Amino acid sequence: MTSPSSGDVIRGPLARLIDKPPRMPRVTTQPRFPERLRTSPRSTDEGADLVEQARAGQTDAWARLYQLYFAAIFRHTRYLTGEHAAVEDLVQEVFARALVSLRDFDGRSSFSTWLHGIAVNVVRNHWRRATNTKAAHDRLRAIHEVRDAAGSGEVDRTHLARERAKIVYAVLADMPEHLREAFVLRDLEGLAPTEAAAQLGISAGNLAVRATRARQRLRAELEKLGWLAPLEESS
Amino acid sequence: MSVDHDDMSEVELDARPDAALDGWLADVSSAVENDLVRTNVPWDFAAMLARAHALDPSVVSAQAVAEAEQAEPVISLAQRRSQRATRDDPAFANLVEDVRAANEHDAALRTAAAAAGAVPRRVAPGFTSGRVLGLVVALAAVVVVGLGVVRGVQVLTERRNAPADAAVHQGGASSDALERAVIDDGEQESPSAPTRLVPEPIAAEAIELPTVVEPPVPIVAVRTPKKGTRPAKPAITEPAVPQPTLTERLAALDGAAHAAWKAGDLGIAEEKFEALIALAGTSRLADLAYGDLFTLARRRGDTKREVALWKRYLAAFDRGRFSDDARAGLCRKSATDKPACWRDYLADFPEGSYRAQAERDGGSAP
Repeated sequence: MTSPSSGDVIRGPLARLIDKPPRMPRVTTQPRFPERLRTSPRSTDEGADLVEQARAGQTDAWARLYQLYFAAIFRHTRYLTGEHAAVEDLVQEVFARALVSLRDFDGRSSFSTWLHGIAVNVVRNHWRRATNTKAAHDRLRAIHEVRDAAGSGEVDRTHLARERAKIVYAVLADMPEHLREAFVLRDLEGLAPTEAAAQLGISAGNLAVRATRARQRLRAELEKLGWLAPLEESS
Repeated sequence: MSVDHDDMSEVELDARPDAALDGWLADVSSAVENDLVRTNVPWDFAAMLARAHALDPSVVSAQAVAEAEQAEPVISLAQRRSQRATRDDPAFANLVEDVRAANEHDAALRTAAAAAGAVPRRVAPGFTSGRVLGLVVALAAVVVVGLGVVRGVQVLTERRNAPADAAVHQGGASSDALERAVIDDGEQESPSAPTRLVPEPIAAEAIELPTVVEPPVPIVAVRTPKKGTRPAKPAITEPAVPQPTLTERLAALDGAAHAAWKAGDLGIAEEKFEALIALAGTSRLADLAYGDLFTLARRRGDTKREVALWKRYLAAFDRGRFSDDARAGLCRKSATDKPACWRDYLADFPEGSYRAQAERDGGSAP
């Protein structure tokens, strides 16, 4: 049944929409994510030269790499954290750590993959500092409060998307990080399986399993909270 | 009833259609993308180097950090341009809307002037909001009196607008390519057919712009219809050759600027960006073009021009996407009272990208 079992879970102005998932307007189902949302890090000849020059201590070359990759790393970090506030500092940390570790870059992966992998590590540290189960539950509760306080009236798509993003990231925050990061890279940021796997240092098969488990958990949690109907009824 | 997940492998389960969850995830991605589009990403190479120095002074020396801190504010072409909206993005719709709004406004003024028998004049660049308000009031009066005239213009506008608009928005090869040249970085292309981004087409080719630097386009002359008759077909001065739409003109300028830049002809690139700014007024497209001009001036090592550009930019875009950089640049170049400049900066941009330097160099207020 689609209705939430607990009356204190679904209240407020979004309840009407959230209560009945089949009536929600669909954004896109096929393909799962718009192609434009996918990132495609590339390793160019220019990039390879710059890396060599930067390894030789040329600050200008590192400045150019910083220019070239800043936007991609910002985006990557934004997806991983799900929040805006910390991203700026985290991105600076990524580049700073990459610079001091540059001598360890062995070229087995592309520079872009290596840099994105450092971003994953930096975000992991951020998660460990900032996240605990209580905080995740607090966030979910806060979302309910936001909904209740939002007043009545039609909820526009942008607002609904933002609310859903908050909910999804709050659920993800309560998930083991190896599942969370696989899911974010694969299902939210939309990276190709090989690229996402390379960034996490795991096989593509392992990535698929982790992302699938995360997806199952996310769905189960959204069902439990009353935001999604069980699969047979919603598909 | 819940799904029996044990009946299938995880990968098989992954392939099961789940439209409801996919809808949620698409919303999450769309929320993040919207946030990214709206974000003016601040970045500071010197601060990053300082952090790297703190992590390992043997890799990044204090001298390198000091040198970076003395450098100009960096405008990242790659990063700034990556924020440029594509034709599928809401940001692009806003951008086009800005430019079109300026056109529509000017067209309305000219229509009113024509209906009132006034001689249409080109609006001077120093177009002020007070004058705009006065003219809009006059326009309203004219519209009330001469509804038939307006209808006549609408008919004309619709008739004239249709083919050109279709060419731009319904995939005409040449215009499509031009438009993409303005708004795309060539990284991503949407396989889907382009969609109309602006609800009501404006006859951009039939009007003049407030700050056009190019030769004027012929003005539509309108006659007042007799009462009780259908609006007379307005007499128009048809141009011998169809005029390019505003979008096409902007696209051409942007494309030419970048082509010149790519070819190493920075002077021509600057000229084209300047022309684009003159055409686009204070729209976001002009805002972005200033970013390109900053980079070009820096590449040419023309510090005076850089300073002049920052000042000009700030006069036009007090809170534009480069205001933070421009203000910091002016403080760094300030020959008089640098600390005061940085204090002002900090007051206006308490969360600015250069706040660390502002706090350090601003000192305490006298």
